[in-house]
Amino acid sequence: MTDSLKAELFRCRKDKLLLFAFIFVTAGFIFMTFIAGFAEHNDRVTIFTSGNISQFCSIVKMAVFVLYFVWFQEYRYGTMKNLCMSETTKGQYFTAKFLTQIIVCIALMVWVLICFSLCLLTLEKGTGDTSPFIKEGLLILLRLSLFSVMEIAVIDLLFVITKNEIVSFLLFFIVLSNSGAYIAQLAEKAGIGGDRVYPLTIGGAYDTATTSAIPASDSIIFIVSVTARVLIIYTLTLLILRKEVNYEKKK
Amino acid sequence: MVNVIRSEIFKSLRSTYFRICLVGGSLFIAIAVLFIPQIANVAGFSIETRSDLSKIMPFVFTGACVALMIFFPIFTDIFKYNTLKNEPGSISLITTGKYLTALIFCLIFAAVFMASFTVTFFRLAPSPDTDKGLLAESLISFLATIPNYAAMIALIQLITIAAKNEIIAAIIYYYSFAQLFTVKLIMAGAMPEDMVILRHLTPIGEFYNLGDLRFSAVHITLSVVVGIVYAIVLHTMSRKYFMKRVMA
Repeated sequence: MTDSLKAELFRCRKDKLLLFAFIFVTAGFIFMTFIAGFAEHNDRVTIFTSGNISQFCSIVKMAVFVLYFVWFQEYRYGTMKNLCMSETTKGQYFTAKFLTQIIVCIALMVWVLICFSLCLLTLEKGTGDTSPFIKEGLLILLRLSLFSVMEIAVIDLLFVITKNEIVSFLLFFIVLSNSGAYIAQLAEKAGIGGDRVYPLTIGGAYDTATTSAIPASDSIIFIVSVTARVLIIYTLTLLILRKEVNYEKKK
Repeated sequence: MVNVIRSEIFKSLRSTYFRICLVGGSLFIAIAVLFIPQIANVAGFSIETRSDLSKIMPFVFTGACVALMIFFPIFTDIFKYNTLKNEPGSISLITTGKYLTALIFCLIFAAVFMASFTVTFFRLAPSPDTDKGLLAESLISFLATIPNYAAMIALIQLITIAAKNEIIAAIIYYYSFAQLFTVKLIMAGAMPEDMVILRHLTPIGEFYNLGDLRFSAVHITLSVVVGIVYAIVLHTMSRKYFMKRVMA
């Protein structure tokens, strides 16, 4: 397991695609700060209160998608067959991949924090106390990190099912991310309660993660529900992979 | 050139991914357009009469740009599978051949859209005020968007050639496309005059204008010209960049 993890981290260091996620976050944040400069109020307080923070979060959500390559490289380079020769078990092999994605994701979040702090420093101070907003910003980053882990788990599942990069991209960003409101409306019509169903969707989870000033109880529910969903999705992915690798072995 | 296009069409239709996307995309367009009133209702628009369609069409036209992303693999397959070496005689024609192939597939989507739109139009109640000629005007507006979609495909080709990777190209395209609206919204408060220029000089802006469905002949001509100019310029850039890379 440790060897697999080391191997995956080594591969990550060598792959230039990973660098793109960091460059994308940096460029996106610089761009957003530049654009915020055109707004009537462009101080540090307004950036938290005007809803601009969700724009920064959307950059992170998109950058996290790049981590797909850790999972997808076996399909891309046709090296899935190597797993049949390896002594490492399937579970260990793919768990090492998933853990690598989480490690890179944490590194990305640290980079996001650095970039966002630098962007804030370039803006005017504005009127009012910024410390509650900074605390809120950190909580958003924490929830966003957890959402990103769920995003990774969903992307991995999508890749295992579709085996196509663009289809997975479209399914995640167009279908899953935007279907929350429609699912909630259908649930409302069915009498289940749209408000209860919406947070369970990808769009709903993202909204909860990026909304500022949500009650502490809601934050705890979010953390528990997202962790549970990550475990369920990852188990499902492993089950599908198990069948697939057994099929490769039979071949 | 005809042989290059034929080979690209053959290659694309042999691909399971592309067949699924083509059929799935057509079905998606048909369902989305046929159920425009219901979908619009969720988004907070009320579409009850035929003339109400103009409220949602700017979003339909611009939203369709996202569907163009299924053409990424047409442009990236030579980089993904390193098959450039297999076609030394037609290197100069590859970019144009691939571009025209994507455009041909795009026209299939256009035909599905126009058929579904006509059905939706007749399903809706007639407007209390006159809607005489609205269907013809709507279809003309839609036809005027085709050069702008051609420009978007040329942009996709340029991004894919520069990025060489489908996902990086998809992120750049999707993000820049989405951000254009944010830029417009943020700038709207500060400099509305500039926003008007943005609306008239970019293909995305033209989709927004044409979605009005009751545009004058001058505006439609301007939109077509903007689309054609962008398509030619972006495609020429793609060709030059591709040739430069091949020669390198």
